[in-house]
Amino acid sequence: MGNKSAVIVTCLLAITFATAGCSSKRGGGMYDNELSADQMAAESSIDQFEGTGEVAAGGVFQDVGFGFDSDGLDATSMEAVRNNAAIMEANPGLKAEIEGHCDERGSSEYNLALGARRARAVRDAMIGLGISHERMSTVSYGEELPLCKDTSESCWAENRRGHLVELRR
Amino acid sequence: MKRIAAVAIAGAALLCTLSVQSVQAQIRGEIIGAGARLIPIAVPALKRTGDMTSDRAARRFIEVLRGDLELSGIFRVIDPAAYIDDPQTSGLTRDTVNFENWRSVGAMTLIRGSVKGTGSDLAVEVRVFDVADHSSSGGRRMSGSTTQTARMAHRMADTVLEYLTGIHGPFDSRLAFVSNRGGHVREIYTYSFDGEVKKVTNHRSITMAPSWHPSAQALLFTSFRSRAPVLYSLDLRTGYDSRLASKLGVNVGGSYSPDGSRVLLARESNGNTDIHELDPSRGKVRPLTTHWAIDVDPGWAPDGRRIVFCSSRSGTPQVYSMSIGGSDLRRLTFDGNYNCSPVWSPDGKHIAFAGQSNGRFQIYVMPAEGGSPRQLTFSGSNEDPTWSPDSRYLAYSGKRGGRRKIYMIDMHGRRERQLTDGSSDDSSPSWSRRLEYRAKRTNLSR
Repeated sequence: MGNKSAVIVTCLLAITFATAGCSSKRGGGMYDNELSADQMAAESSIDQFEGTGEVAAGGVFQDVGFGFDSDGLDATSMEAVRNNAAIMEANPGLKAEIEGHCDERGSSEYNLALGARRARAVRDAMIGLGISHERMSTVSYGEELPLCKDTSESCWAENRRGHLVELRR
Repeated sequence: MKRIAAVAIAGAALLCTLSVQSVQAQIRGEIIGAGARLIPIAVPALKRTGDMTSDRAARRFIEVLRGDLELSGIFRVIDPAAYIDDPQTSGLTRDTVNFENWRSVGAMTLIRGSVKGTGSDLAVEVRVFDVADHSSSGGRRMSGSTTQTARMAHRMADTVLEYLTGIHGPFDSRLAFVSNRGGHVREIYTYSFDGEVKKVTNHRSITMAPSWHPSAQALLFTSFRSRAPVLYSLDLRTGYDSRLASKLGVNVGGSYSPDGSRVLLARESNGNTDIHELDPSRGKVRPLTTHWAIDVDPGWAPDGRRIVFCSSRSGTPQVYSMSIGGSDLRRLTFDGNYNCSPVWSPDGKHIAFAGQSNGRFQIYVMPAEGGSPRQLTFSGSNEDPTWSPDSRYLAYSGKRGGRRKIYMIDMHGRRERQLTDGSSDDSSPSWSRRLEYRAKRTNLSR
């Protein structure tokens, strides 16, 4: 056994960490505003995954398309925005939530931010067409709620959308 | 807000390094160079003393140990069917092992051990030998309940890697990831390297971007349970989660600082998303970036002094680093039109990220101070890189014309392995630090 020596190692590992947030089951929002009543009331795609965009009073909201990594509105997109604004005009009591969506490529976190911009872009364009900002809220789903899952440009294009749903109370 | 400090003392009295070999007789360090050959290693069954309980656990221990050694990409486990030795009767120590038996089946390294079971407890003693030298590089004695068998085997594998390469292995750790398995929308799961998968959320909604607390006892993640993306913290010991950031808009990409005291996240304000730093114990949030462009995907340097993130401020998404104080901004990626999801290696030396190439995404690694990125993946489209605790490997999600799966690869781009089976979509892996070990003290004796 010559040069070998037994080394006794005792490690005392102290685990210290702060449990972030309330450890009780209150679980309320800690730092900022709670979601608004409008947000809570929106029947968004999250429930049925493909909110049709149909409006109770009649008419169908059109999806607004976007280019890759872009929140700009081209002529076709503006056409859809105008159609949606017309529906809002025709139904003065109508409120809408605008969802921003992305295709599957790239960071899911970046896509959440991009989706937020897309929703915002549609909302701003509709405000520009005279719709009151109080009638519209926005939310981003990033790449999380795709309409299709193929690896193709046409599917990707379909997923890059601003999607409107009626806010019901 | 209450700050709960849990101090747990983990007695690693199980650690008895039986004989520490000098460096020369072992293969160290350089073995992991590019193009290195696999080390043939023999891992015979444990010699059993005790009751039948230890037999099942004994087999599980060896199975997990062999699996980790193969997964490491450093060893080739010699087929046990070829072993000449009878594990129940042959020797366990340097003086009693028949090294010729192992040399003749081509082994360079031998793992030889015994197990003793006492009811629901287990005690394992394992030694590592260099076959050519007839010498031992060390050993370990571990004990715990039989439910900890896999973890003991992971720790043994990590020790073998340390003896042979000088760097402790990563296998006593967990992955967290997002999956739609089981018919659920998308929930967070944890994965152990023995294949055990556990569901840890029940939000019945879309969850994303899990990220570990350095203690591996808590997870950050974003959930759409409230219909908009909110950041939650999940305490894995209790199973309870609570909201950390629920500002109207996007709250995503939560990342704990290396000391666990702060959280970076991307938060939206009026349509624009910026990196913020959150101090959960004081309820204070401050912005770190205020640019009109998208700033997301924050990550910490291991010394907590710098951060990395993805920003579109130059026109396309690129990787940047910055001091935690908000100064010394440096752009790190210049090739290609989309480089995002940066992660800093735990040893501080490298940054990995996902970059777009030919319409798909691939995983790249570059020196932390900047420099030419090296492409690691080439098949399909790969995103969401995360580093192993020993900085040797990356896990990521890959799509190869089917469902998304979790893969791992070494940081030289070799030996890609599929970790999840592809029966569901699995993505957004986060690799924890090495787990702490709690064991009862045992008497140390030779």
